Amino acid sequence: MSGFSGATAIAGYGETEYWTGTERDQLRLTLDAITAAAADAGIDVTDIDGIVRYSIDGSANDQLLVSNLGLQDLGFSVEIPFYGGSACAAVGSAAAAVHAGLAGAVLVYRAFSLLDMTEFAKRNSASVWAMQAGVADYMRPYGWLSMMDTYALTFESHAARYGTTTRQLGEIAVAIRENANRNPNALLHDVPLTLEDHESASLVSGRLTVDDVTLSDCEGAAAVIVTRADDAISPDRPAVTIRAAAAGLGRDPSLNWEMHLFRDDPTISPAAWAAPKLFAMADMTPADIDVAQMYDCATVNVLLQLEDYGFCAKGEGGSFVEDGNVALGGSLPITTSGGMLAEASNHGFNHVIEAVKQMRGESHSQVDDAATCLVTSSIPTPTSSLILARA
Amino acid sequence: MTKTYPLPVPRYYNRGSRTYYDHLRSHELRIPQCTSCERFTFPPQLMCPRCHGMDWEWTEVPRRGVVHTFTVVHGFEPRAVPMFSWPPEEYPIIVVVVELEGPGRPKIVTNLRDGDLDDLAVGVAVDIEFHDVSDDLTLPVARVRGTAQAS
Repeated sequence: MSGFSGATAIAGYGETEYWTGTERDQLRLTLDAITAAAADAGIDVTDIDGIVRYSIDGSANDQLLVSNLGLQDLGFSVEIPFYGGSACAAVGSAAAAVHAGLAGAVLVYRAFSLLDMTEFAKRNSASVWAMQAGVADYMRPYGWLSMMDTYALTFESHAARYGTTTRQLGEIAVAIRENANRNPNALLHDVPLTLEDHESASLVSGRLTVDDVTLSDCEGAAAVIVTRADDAISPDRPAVTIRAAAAGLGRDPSLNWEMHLFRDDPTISPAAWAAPKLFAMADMTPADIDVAQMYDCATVNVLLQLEDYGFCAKGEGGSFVEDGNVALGGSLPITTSGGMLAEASNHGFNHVIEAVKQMRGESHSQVDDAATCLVTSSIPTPTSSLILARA
Repeated sequence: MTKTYPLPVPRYYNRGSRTYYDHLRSHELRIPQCTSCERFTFPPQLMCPRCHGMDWEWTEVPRRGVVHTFTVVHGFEPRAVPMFSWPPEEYPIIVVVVELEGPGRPKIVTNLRDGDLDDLAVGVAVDIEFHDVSDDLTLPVARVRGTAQAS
């Protein structure tokens, strides 16, 4: 083991229920999740001395949190940029800070409200990055409008190279929906999905359907507290240590996010460069992973990650899922909460929460004897990932 | 008579976008090429990521290429992009990323015209044509090579 492997832990978590279209107060949701996480970690809220957040901007920013929670001596406060790729990097940054002695109890959180999908989405389209990169000049005027188009373009490239089928995407959608159907907090808890349903669902972009892409307009919040592993030991439950964290932009980082499709081979995501660093820090191989919370803003992204994290060879993701590997009971159950496809969309922080539940034996789709869990954040760029372990 | 164009137009945010579209207006397809190391970089940026030069020449590139990837946009989730909403009658929109012939194989985004969808696939050869959509804007469009010119 190397880096800060095993030195820190997720001492507690908290989350709200998830809703759509209720216009709840984002700050209230955030405070609810944080107080729950502190209680779960067995600390007083005012013991929090570090905060890591990740954008899009929200009303629940760290200044508001410090004043509302009455934090007295916040010594570490950083923001990880860029949306869905950042959840695992945020936790990794907290772990690095704790390991370095900069803080002892670091809060990491994500709150989502309708504002993220309306007001902040407008700013997103006009952000300095989007302006400079040329999204508004070279893509939007041609009708390439949303991230769903980006995923559809990715799928066609993968399908052309490797013969990947929509039915194989359906295997991913169905496996994750079955997990949601076991999870009472999932928004699609009571909406079953079959392969036949998936094949006949409404098209969104290209050959991707509504069942291939994330839920939207979700509201809710989730938080974790990262401490030294020694401070997270409880007589009541297993400790959940952070065995590895990695992040990456991949090669040719001038072609970020949607512009990933300008690369010569868009089927190779930056996860292919994050994965070796991640497994090296954990001193593990993909075969050591018992369960994986794969970021699932789109089924095709799960397919790419299965390949790029090394669970199968590039191009074999389709047959890997067709063989039943990713369903509960398979060799690598994925996204056991229902994820963004079926639990809630909050830029992947529910994946971190679900990983903690798996390591404690608290999941509604519990994997027997699970002792290691991979968590991933969005692809293409940037991306990040974690390996958690039951201590 | 003034020709107007009702659909989303370039915003000219990117530092090279005016130049790119000015060349298209003159019916020339030009891509920035580093004068030091000859790397093509598109979309344009200030610094060459290979040699860190900052001088670029807009080099004319072949108006021939292959489909790098494509999608048919069905008009879902317009709220995600409030600045770029399209009228419903415009859907479906066929978006094509074209890999151009020549050194560096630069890629551009364009649309397929004239209902060639059945001929469309990754790797299919296309030609880039110029579509004067208004008095001051010309967009590149792709046509599957060998298919007939409409009108």
